[in-house]
Amino acid sequence: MMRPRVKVLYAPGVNCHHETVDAFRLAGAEPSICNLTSDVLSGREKLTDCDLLAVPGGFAFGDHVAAGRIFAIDLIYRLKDQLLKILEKEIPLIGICNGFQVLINTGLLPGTKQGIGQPSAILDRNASALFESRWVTLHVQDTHCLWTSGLSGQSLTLPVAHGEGRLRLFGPYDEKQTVLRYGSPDGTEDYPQNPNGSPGGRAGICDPSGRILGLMPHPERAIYPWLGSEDGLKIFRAGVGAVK
Amino acid sequence: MISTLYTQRGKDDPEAHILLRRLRSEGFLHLRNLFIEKVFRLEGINQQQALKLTPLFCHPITENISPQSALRRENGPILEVGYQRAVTDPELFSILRSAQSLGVEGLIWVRIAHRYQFQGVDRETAEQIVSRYFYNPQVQIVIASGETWDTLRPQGESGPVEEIILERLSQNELLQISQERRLFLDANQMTALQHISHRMGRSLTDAELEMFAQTWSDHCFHTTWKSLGLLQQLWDTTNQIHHPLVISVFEDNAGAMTFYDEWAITIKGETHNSPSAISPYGGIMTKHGGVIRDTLGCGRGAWPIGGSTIMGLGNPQMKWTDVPRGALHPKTILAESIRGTADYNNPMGIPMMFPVYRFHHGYTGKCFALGHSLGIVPEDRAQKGSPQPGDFAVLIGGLTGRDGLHGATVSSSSMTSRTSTMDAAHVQIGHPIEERKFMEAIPVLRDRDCLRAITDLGAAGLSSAAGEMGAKTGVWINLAWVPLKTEGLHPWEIWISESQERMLLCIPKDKIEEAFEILEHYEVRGAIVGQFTNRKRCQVVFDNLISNDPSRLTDDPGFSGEKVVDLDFNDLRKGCPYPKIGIQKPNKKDKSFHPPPLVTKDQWISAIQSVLGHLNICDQSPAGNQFDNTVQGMVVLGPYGGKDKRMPNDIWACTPIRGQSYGVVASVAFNPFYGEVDPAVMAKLMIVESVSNLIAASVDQNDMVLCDNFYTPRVTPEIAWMLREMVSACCRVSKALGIPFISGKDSSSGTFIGEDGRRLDIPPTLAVMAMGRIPDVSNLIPKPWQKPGNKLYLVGPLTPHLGGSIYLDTLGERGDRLPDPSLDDFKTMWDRLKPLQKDHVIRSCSVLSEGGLIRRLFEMALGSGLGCRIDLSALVNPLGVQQPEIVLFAEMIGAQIIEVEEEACPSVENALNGICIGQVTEGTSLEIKIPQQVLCLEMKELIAIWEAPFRKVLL
Repeated sequence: MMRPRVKVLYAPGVNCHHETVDAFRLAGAEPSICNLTSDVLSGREKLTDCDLLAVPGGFAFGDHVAAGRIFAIDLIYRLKDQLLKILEKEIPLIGICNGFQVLINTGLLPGTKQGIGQPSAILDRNASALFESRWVTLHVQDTHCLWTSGLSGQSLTLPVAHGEGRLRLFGPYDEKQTVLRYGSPDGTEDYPQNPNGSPGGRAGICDPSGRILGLMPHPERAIYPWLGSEDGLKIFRAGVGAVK
Repeated sequence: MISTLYTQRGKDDPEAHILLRRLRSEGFLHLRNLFIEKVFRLEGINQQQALKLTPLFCHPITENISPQSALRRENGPILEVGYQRAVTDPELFSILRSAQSLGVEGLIWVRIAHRYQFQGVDRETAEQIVSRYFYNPQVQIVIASGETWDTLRPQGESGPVEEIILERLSQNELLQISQERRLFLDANQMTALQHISHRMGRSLTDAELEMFAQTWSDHCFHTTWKSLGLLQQLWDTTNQIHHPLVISVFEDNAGAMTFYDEWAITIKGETHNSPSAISPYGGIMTKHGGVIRDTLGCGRGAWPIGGSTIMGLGNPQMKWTDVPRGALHPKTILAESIRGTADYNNPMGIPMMFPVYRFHHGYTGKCFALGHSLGIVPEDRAQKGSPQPGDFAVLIGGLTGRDGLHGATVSSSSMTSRTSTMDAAHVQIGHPIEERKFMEAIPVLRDRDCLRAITDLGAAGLSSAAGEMGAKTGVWINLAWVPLKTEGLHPWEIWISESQERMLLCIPKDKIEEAFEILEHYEVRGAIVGQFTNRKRCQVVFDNLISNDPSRLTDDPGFSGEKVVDLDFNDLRKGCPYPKIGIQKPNKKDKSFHPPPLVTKDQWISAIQSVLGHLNICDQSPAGNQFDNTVQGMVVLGPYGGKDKRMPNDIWACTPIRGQSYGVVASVAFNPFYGEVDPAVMAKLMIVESVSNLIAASVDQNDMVLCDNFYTPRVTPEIAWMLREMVSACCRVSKALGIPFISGKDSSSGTFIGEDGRRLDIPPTLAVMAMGRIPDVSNLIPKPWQKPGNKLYLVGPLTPHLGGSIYLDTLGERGDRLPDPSLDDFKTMWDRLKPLQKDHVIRSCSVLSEGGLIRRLFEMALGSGLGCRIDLSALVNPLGVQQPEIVLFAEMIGAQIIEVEEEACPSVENALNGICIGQVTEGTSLEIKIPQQVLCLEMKELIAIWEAPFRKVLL
């Protein structure tokens, strides 16, 4: 069978793309790094030339102005047609950590109103006001998100590493969009099980279609037995499995 | 045309809350509230166009934007902080990019400022807060209210090259020049320059004089160490060991050793003590930036895989009134250094290996600020090539400005109460995004053979990098080609600027086009700034009339424009007279101390609690968890492990080649108390500790190397004697164990001179990192206990002395005798340990260090969720101690606690002469039989005591 093609989007400051590529490879896909400026904005590649798209973690553009903002402005105002095409072609999309911040800034998540360019949520400073690098337990909710297909009810052990992960939702939101919660099946707001104070213990959410997942934890850092957990691989396998 | 926009977060501004909390904890209790407003000044567009940038500057729900400030004057003093007129905002290019995406034409420049409004304090206090916490006078200013702007573009005027006449000046006059220009050159050095000038038959240019001062500084030239012959001694020892895995030693930016599958791993440790003492946030950021660039500049470019931050600080609980004038409160340095490490290392995406904070009053004037960086590089590219005449010198990364002038010379001097104002220019500001960009590009350039050589720009900037790279062939640089962020720089300032995030590449002519394509792909700024020659001279011009288009450059650039530097490399590298340093054995003060015996249970429990709650060994994760320690997805053992990841690990391990289970391991030792008691034995113990940690985890003794970082007070005959003893001890131990030092650094500036002229010396400091390799990380022996019922043994040379221990420190004492175990005993034990490790007889293991047996018992219990039953009398008699508490608190460095199944006990007793001290239990307590009675220590209570102190300091 053909290995699904995955584009892992790189922009200056992104720093988790290598391990994200490795995770997709291990999950049975054929990933490649796609450079926002010199590949996509130059017109050499299209975001839609793939079966899966990932926006990895890091500090894109040095978090200038606001985390994920500069990246999102490029996506909204220069690549809007390609974003719409992604939705139309039903290409699954995952945003991890800073990638989640980018997707929130574009309005693709929570995406209830399909408002590209109209963000209705924010990943705010952690309640502790500190960068939090820890291991957390996540509870997979019963949703139709394809990135956690077959995982509902399971608990996953994954690392987090972020300063801005407190998800605050302002627009219409269906609780069924919550894919991952910190600490317990119903989610906890207790520190440090919930590292950022995210209300309802929300750690990851999807759009209404279940194809776009954004999450603060780093599944790509838990993919080998010697790393303490292989749970992260399950998410990549589910995503790859959905397009095989 | 300049338009202005203001944005605010409103009531729930997390940034303002954080600052408010911090300021109140710093003693500004009248401060009731703080508001922050961001100001965007935009040149080239009108207000209407400016508002089109709203999606960029403002979140539609949480932020407000308007052309007028929302802050009302009557609500409290307002102060606005921005970058100086001569400086370019770091966010400029990101904003210009987004403006283009938003279809806003005509925007040519942007300046961002922050307006702070303070409620509850007067203007004077507000000014004090702003000047102390919110801005760096080196690059920022407080913008006067109502200030109008013609243009936002950087303004400033440069000057011509100045000639400095040294001919016929008296020694006093020479010294005066040195002082006025803040060169920190002594009389001998100035006289040597006079001779050089005389021989050349001309006066020196300002740039030449500055270059000599930088090159000959202790920081760059290690004058103290060289004149004592210490560097040579370390080199000789390493050469004598002739280790088969060692690839490069000392001369490169980092040391390299063979890894597996044709890879090499690299190690470097670098201190940044002086800037961190004055401006900890910026100083610590550049500490990390600098040592990471050492990895990037090792061989033909290594990839960083791990970093550390090792800090020595004064007592963070000292009274504010006791802080010497000109020094910062240790608590401020602690908090700011944590922030600096987080803000630099996290964006770099390099996992934190060791966040270590140690406290000793000697660091009150000058702190110890060390950072390590490990890297990985293909073995065939682990060594540099030599520049060839005609090769291009290409400067990449950040723009060059005035920041960091005189860093090398100031670092080499002792700090006085005036340093913080006079030499503030030597503190740079870090922008990790620039460095992260070229971190991505360098391995690609390397693997496509674009790099003949590469080095970083650190102390003394371009002058040092180009000087080092071109020393063998000769180099020619045109300073007019250096991309600037600050207008009005003198040529000499461009030449020695220490602006961060820059590297110098040597690129062969036929690779220049490909190299620039790669740089462009990764959005890394790069400029040809010169060429290598065959003239064996360092030649620098300033000529803005010639182009650096590679197709138009000949192989033989000549002098045109202004001549800035024209020096023989021999004069630069060999002309420096070494200071004559006397050596004298210091009188040893008698500090012997015998603690009063512990009698009652309460005394015992309180002693144990004081040790576990000691700042140096308590839970430091409130700092450590602020640093990304899992990025790159290959960390096997990070700073914290075991159950709930709360137990401090003794070693760090990672698998840097994806999918492969062979690993890099590392361990670090640093102890300021020991240095105070006996510097030479301390040096030995630091090596033993770092090495033992790896060996206990089952790393082979032949698979590791060492990195040293010395930090000592300004040299006096006594200090020189002590330094020599420390280095000799290092050489002796390294040779006896066959484990070589392959990288290291020394700093002899650990002295602070207070306003009253009083000298405050740091304790003699040496941090040793051991780095090794292991064929399969799955075989690393864990630290947490594995199974209730298993027996616990103490093995290794047992030398129960309390000198320098945490226990004595809790009693306000230091003692006069360090444990001094025999190396032969260690070697025997390590040999006998190997088969037991291989046969998986040893189920868990930890090596004693600061805090002694009790600390490790506590940590192993914490990591496993289990308890233990220990009988101290098993140790008291064999060790012949008078007081049983000694075996609990003595820091028997290198001794191991090992856990084995009951049936394996005989083999452990026979092979290792181990002493059975007890067993692992199901419970959640440490049961310790002190000869006459039993202590039952609940883990829950111990954890609370261990967690509290560091947290409290950071509040």
